[in-house]
Amino acid sequence: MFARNKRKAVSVSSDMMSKQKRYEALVNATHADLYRYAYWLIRDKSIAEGVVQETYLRAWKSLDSLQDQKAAKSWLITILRRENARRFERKQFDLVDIDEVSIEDTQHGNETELEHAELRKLMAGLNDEYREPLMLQIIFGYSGEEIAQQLDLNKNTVMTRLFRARNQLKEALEASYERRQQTNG
Amino acid sequence: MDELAFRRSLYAEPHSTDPQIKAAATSSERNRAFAEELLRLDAAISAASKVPVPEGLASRIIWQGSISEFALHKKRTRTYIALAASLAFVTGLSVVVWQQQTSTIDLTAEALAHMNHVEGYRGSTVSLAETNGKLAAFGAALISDIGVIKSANFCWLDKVRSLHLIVETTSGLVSVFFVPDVDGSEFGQRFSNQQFVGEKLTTEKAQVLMIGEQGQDLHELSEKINNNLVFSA
Repeated sequence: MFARNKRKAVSVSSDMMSKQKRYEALVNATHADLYRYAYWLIRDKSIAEGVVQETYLRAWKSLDSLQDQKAAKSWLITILRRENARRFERKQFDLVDIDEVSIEDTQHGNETELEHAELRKLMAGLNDEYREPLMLQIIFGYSGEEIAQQLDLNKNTVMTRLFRARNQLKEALEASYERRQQTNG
Repeated sequence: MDELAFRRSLYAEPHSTDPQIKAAATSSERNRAFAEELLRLDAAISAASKVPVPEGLASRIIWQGSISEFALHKKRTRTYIALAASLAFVTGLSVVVWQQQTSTIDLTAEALAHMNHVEGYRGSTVSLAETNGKLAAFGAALISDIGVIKSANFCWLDKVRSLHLIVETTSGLVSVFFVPDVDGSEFGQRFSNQQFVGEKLTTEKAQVLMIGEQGQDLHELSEKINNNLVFSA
């Protein structure tokens, strides 16, 4: 009787080992993209990190139900979006006011760095509904079709939002470039 | 494809693989420049989006996963321990309650059951003095004979120590049990089973159970005991 229990315990812990390995592989392969996506969704480093951790905790609990490895990304994004939405249900005051957020600013070394810093501010300033599909496309390389599926939107709507997002960024960049030229000149 | 549609499509998907758009991108210098411009913009957005990932985030996430599993195990173990503890508690409680119940109900049944074991009493008699020596345990004494006492022995009725006398009366042998007035030892005034009949006398410090054969008259003995039993202060 004891021997049987022992055998069972061993097989359980070896199941756990393989689960642990799958989990580690999943985290290593996806955490950077997922964190960046969370960051652009939330625009606060520490809240983003908390939501990402919460997301993986939930992922761990239902890792067994994840059969298709390809679906892992989309699955994680879905959990993360749900976690983020839950944050708003929980406390309204977690809402980030964009004016108070200092977007990660690297040193103003050269024109490219300057442009990236500028771009980050502009990206953070985009309307949520433009920024989210854009980030799915930029970070995860999703097609319009995939974004539509992930966000449960019509594909045309997604394409319009992507168009507006880039259009606004481009125009704002050009305007700020011109401003800089004027002040420099 | 007109230029507006082309531009809109490229804005939405600069890396589009759509053959129509690819064709349009090479159809004019203007279009080619625009496509390149958007690719540059996209590269910039992509670079700008790569905010630094907090150091050690992956390890923290993995660690947290293992901890949650460990906590789950601990929680399960705790649940089992709690379950076992409550089971043990309920079992203990039931035993106590059950014991208390049996001690309250069953003294007369015990006395009646005891009757089945007294068949072979000694043929001798016990003196009043010897009987009183044993009755002293209850702080009681008989001031005169209540009949020929054939036997006087302590015995246990359930968990109650009692003195069992077998008295010869005009109507035959009668068993008399002296039971200390224990809390919870309750008897009906009269009790019986198929074979025996019993009567209870409640005195100031003890209870007296008299048991005889069915149909036997216990009244005479009851009177005698009532009149002769005294208690020390």
